[in-house]
Amino acid sequence: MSDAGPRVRVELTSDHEIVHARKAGREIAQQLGFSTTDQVLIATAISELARNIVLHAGGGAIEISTVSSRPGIAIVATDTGPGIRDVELALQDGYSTGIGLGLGLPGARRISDEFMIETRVGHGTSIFFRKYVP
Amino acid sequence: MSVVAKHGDLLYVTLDDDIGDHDMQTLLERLSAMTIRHKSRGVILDVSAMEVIDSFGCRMLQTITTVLRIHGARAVVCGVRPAVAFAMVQLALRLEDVETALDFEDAVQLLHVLTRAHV
Repeated sequence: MSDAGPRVRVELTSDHEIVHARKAGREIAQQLGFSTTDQVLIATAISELARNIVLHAGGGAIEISTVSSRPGIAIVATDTGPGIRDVELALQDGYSTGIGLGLGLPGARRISDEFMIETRVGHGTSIFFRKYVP
Repeated sequence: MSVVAKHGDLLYVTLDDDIGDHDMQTLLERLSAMTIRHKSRGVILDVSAMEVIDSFGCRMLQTITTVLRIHGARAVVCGVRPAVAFAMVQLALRLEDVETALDFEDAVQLLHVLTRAHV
């Protein structure tokens, strides 16, 4: 995937980087021409994905870039944490109100155009999120 | 991160956009101590500078509200931006048992009703 657009990678080791990640995401979303509402939606989704990593995986990274084929934002959240044992459960809506794993994941998926989770128990998780400029 | 000011019988807190999880925790402790020290009856949490309120932010606002209520004070969150409110609904985030007002003025009015504080 070749791209000329901005690409930001934020290593997530503490809660302060969550703020960096969502600010970077919002900036790129703004450059892409997303509405203010969508910018906030994207920034909030990044915040949820980043927090999952900091709280449950003990660290990882979030990479934000632009989609090359059409105007859109691509977010990849990767960690080497425990993995998600039950992805379906983690994506259930009611589950997001708990404190456990998967907090905010259903919401992030709902506002995305493309959403994919790759996870291996004991090895880690990668979450791929894309949203296109309407 | 955040500013706490005394305003009559009320405490007025502005939450910055870059407030982190740890800062939220510190704020909770500071607010708790100040509420007790000043015997405050009402606390206004102004979130108008916040461009993102995620699930953790919602939970902290709920926690602050509950802790302050135990100390005998009522909290009102004001200034939620339209885009933030929309994102909260889209992401199914909840502010249960948290009083909200449009802006500072409305928050003062609401607290007046809730606490009959002299402001």
